[in-house]
Amino acid sequence: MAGVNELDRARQLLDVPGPRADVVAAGQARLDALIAGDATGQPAGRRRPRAAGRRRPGTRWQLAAACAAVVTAAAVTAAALTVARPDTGGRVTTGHATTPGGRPGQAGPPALQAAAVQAAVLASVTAAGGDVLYVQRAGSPDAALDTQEWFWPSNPAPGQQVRMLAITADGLEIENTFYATARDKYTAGSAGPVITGTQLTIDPQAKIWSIQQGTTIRPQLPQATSAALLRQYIAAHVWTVIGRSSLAGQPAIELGTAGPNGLRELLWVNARTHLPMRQLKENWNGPGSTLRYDIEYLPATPANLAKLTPAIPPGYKRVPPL
Amino acid sequence: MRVSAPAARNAGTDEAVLAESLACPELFGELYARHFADIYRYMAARIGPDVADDLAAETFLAAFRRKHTFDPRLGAVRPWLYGIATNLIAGHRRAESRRYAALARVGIDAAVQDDEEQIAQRLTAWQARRSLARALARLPDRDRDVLLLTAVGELSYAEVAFALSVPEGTVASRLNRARRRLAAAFGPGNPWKD
Repeated sequence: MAGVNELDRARQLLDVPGPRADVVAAGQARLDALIAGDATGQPAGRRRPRAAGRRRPGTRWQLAAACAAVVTAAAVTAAALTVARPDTGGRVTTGHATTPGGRPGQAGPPALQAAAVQAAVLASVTAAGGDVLYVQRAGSPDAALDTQEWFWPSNPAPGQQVRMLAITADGLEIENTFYATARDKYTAGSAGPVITGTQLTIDPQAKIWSIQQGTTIRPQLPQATSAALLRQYIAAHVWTVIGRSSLAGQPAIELGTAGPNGLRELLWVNARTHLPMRQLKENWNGPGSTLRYDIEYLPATPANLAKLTPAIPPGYKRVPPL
Repeated sequence: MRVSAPAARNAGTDEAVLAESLACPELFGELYARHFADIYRYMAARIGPDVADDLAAETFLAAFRRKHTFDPRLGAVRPWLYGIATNLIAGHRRAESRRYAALARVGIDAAVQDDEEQIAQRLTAWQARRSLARALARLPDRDRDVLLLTAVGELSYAEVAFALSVPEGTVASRLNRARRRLAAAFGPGNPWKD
């Protein structure tokens, strides 16, 4: 027989956070509706108010009132009995917080600690290193900053081939292929080290394309997309957890930090995967200016990898390196 | 009137609450308050949070509809709820498969430390989770039910037997087989072994 530890380890590995408060509330509402239908003898959602003259006092009404009293008392007792199980890190797992009104309330999410969230983000970004990273950048008021970028693998090891495709606001497609030399340095922005690679450029406006071997590449990505840069980025700021929210239909944790001259940076991470979802810089280039990065980690499927390879339309003319 | 001593009843056992809910349906909400989080986590571990958001509540709706069929002589409310949840999961095997595929790809939970050692430890855990997910995906459904009711639901043999309406001996043999298969899947480098 296998070791006695296996079940405990399986429990740890499969552990998930408890339900969100809105999920608890939604389920409670459905159950309440069903119970109400049962108490009135009619299906939930099909009840019609009785006419005053037709209402007849009966045991069911008396019982409902009595039951309400029981529910109130039971809820208060449940609140007193609510405990946190040690092996779940303090999450409430038995019972829920309740209100004095007697209706069971919702267990709130565990308190978020910025350090824990940051660590989880770093770990998740590292673990998703084989994914295709998709970043959509949107600038305001400067729409010329709008770009889409695909990057694979998102967190390559030294020596690993990296493919990157950027589509600029004016439709220019730039494909870069290079080998990562030192971990994460390729994402260091315009002031970063020189990386030698191949660059394919397609200009749809001029209907031309070019390819250049051994050229200088300086990929620029938001800090949130690199494990090492994210580490530096987070370490360089005092972050606070603003709270939980929803982004693109996903539960999110919102982090924020403030800088000089009104600069404010916000980072949304997926509350389940802890992968970055959005990075927003406010007042980064004067009052009212914003720069937003919407970030997705896509599995490295053939379909997603195909997005990294631009197609040269027929009739385009090859020209010397642009 | 039947409801004569609420203060004595409100701290009652699940079985007492369920019995009272036959006359006072509102009382059933107390079982929801007591067990929803655990049922949710069991289901989310198997089919993912998105599906569990809805299906965990469905478990209690189904339980409420079937409350007259519960027989306290055979077992307790808690494993009865897990049994209903497991039956609902059976209708979502594809979601379960997707869940294990997702676990194999992503699986880093919140850490409390931010240093390389902690990150490395979590990566090791992630690798173990990936192996676990693959092994679970290959298990027969009935063996996986027993394994996860035991591991995640933390039910005893007798409770699993009640939840699945099978003899305890069957639970023991299925669990033993599932554990041996998982151990074999991990091989000599089994990351589960301390």
